[in-house]
Amino acid sequence: MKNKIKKNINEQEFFDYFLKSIPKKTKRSVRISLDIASQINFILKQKNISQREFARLLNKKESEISKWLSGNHNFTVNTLATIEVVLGEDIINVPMYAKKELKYILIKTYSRSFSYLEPGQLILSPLDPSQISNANSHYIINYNKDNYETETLH
Amino acid sequence: MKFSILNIKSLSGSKAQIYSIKYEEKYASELKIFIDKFNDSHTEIVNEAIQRIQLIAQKEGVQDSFFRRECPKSHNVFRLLETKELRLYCIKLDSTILLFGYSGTKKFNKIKLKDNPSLQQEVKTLQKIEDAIKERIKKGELSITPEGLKGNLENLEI
Repeated sequence: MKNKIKKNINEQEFFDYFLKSIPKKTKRSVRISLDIASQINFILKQKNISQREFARLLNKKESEISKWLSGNHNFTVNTLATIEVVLGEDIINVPMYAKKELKYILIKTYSRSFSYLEPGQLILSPLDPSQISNANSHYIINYNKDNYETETLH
Repeated sequence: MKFSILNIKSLSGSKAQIYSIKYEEKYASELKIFIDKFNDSHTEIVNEAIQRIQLIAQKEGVQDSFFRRECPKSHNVFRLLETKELRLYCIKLDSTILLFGYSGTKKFNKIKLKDNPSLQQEVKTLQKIEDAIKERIKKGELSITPEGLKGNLENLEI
């Protein structure tokens, strides 16, 4: 989609308008590309690996690596995975919101059926009982505001 | 050849100040001409280029790998944009000051720089501008500060 810029404005205003007209999706993709390039650059510096050595490790031409690190490359997941393996570091970190938002509380186990737990043993479980079956295969039998007991489902 | 240097405030940030050359005989700065020339035919690439410049200036900083040198090491003319179709060149005055100059299509740059007299001429003009600015810095007429280039940025000459 073409950018629509007002006419008869000075250059400062022109750039203000132009920036505002750039689609959010483009802004985000440019940011991600630059972030990835910066992250790879940072790891290469930290590990003292030259672009030439990096190219050799990936079996690529140095000119291709140079394009990757220019912040102007559309990486595939496969390429990122290869880079992560070669460098032994994470390049991207996908936030796992479902796991992040879980809070844990101490609960008391109820059943002998847990092979790895003794009855009465205290364990940490998600605060939200609805998450328990996903997290531990424990099931609620008695829940109140502050505490709950669990047993396996037969 | 007379020229001025325009600070583009909305593209600048804490990591770098962004400037563009405005030749006296042209209607606008080279960066605005880049947008005007290519926005209709290469909208996405132009959007990405301008957004990249802003992010480099405001967040990422002037990292060497974002630029490709286009001249001998005595000078600092670099190519920022590396796409299949467009090229955009700048002078890296230091690690916090980028001065944008010439832009062109790949067709123009199809052959290597050393075999392309027209492109060589554009790069040489940017080198002359770099020399002219550095000369004025030596004389104390211009200075590089944390806020960018200070001094008279108009009616400069090469």
